[in-house]
Amino acid sequence: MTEQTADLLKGNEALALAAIRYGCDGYFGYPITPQSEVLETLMAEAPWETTGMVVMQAESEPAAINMVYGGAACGRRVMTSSSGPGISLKQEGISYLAGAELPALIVNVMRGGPGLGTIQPSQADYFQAVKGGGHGDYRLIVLAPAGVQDMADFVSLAFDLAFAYRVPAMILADGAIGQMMEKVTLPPWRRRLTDAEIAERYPWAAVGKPASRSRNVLTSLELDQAVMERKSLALQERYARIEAAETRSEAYLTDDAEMLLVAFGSAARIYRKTVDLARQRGVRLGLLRPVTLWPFPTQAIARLVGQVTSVLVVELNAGQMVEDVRLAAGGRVPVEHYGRLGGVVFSPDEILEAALSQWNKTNRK
Amino acid sequence: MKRTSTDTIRREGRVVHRRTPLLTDAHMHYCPGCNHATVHRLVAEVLDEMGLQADAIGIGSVGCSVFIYNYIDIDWIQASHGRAPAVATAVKRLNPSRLVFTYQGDGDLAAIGTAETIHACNRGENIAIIYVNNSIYGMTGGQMAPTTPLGMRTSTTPQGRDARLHGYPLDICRLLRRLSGVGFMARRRVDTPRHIRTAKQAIREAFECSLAGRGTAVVEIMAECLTNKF
Amino acid sequence: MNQTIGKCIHPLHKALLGAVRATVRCGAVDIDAERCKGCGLCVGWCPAQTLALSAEANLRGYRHSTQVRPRDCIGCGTCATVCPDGCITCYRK
Repeated sequence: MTEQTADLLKGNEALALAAIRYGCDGYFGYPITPQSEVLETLMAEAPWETTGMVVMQAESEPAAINMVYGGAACGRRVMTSSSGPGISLKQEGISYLAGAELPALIVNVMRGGPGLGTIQPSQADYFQAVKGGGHGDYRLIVLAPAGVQDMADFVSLAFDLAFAYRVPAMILADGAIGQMMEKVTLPPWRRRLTDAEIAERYPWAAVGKPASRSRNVLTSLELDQAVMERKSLALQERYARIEAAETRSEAYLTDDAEMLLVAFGSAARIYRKTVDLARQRGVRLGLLRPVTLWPFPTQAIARLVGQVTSVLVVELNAGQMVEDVRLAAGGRVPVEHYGRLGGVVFSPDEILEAALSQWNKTNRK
Repeated sequence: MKRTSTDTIRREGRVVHRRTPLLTDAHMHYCPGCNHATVHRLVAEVLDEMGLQADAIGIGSVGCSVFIYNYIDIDWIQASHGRAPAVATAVKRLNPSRLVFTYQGDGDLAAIGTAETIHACNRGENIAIIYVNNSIYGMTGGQMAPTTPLGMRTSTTPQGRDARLHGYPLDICRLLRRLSGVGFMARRRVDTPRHIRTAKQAIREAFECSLAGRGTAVVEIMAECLTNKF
Repeated sequence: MNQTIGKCIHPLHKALLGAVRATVRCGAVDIDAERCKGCGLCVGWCPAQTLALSAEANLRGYRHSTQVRPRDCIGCGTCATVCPDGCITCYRK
């Protein structure tokens, strides 16, 4: 393969190929629709013969996430992917990763829920991803890709952020992005770190204790409440640093906007079209797409709220991110939600209608 | 033979047994006489004798032995309840030259972690599993485990384990020995000096097996909880 | 408790012991009294019956193991083998 190639790929395939190119050390997965192509692509590519990357089909999602926990504890770049029901099973392991301060990448290609739900795309795991999911006071860095190129690009971004802060990161995609095919430029090749480099860069990793250092213990357990509080506060302080430095969002025609759409992931992609359609009808609509769902772009939204008359939050769920947008808006303008559930994806026209109806309502007042 | 003073013996004699430097100075939290402490000591002694301190990565589990990382001076990863074999799988595959072993009790290995145990053994992961079976949940106060013998009284079977209510004791090693991936399996006790020595030998052979890449090595240590008796 | 421990000693041990004790005096032990939890395993297993639990407790409140008949020690290392907490160093000449 050449250094830079433009291929027509599914989002899941792009993610898998990007992981190999990034120099990922291990992938541990379990089949579930709509993300099984990640494991299939990796197995077909057989990276263990080229880069030495380990790829394993685990016996269950809990096993897969605990393999990730083990790999991360050795300072390796390891990842897993799943969809809603599987991600729920992985929550215990994700909480342990956060508690033991381990960097890792978890990919959720969302489908409709609750329960076994549907295999169609959805954004109903927003709360689970950004508000916790597992037990305890912790956060994940959550990146929301809006297309296949993002699936390829976010692998390195997620790993880099996870290792910079020693927190687990999640790519929160959905079935639409996982399954659709687009032209994508894969990231450049990077080699995997050697054992010596890992021991040097990540002095906390459990790789075997040389005589030169004391033993490394990766654990989330602490029975002394005073120590546990100090550890928890240190983690919160780290989260505050992430919020200050790593919040990312993407604005589309917001400079002169009178009304703001907020959407993430595949919904944000559909909505660019809605913005264009609205502007043809004379309504200056703008779109803000949170790229990081945690840390949430509260400041960016708060700034825009000063210039618009209303905000419409469009999600493929019953209204989850809208709560964070309302917090950012601080009651200054009405913030409404429009959503479709159960795997139904809305068209740009449908959103245009919703936006125009809210526009008319707000401006009649 | 001329009688010698004990000081002379200390000075001139050879050391028959000494606390291995791989045991840390931490005071073990176990109850007096606990078999866990004995097995910890054996693991530390074997690691020391095999010169594996720099090459070993231990995977701790949840139960009485959760604090094993405070006692044996090697790198440790604390796994969630039952998942140690899955954690060890990835650690070994990503560090093939290392000795990777888990230390688990029967509540951890034979109840909540049955799936992980069976699948790691079935894949023939080159890890060692030190399985201390005291037939109850010790840390939480002596509740019934799948391994509890019929008739045994525990805090959740105050009338004794009844097969009609609780099913039959699970002999996980009888299940595991049928799996092609298992390269070494031994069941030992640590109740007499001789048994302790043979248990130590089994741990050594298990470590040798997994280092040689001959498949999963399992050592079941039949133990007794001295505190939770009903 | 002492009765239980007494049962641990094999009659053969006792017989051999008499012969050994009469001729040889070759062992010594150091016991880390502060680490000892007084489980009594070493006391019960010592073939020469040189050990006993102390009358006074250590700092953690345990009556620890102590060598009451050091002249009888044969340096076999059994006490150290059974000690769960690794409190015993054993020497033999």
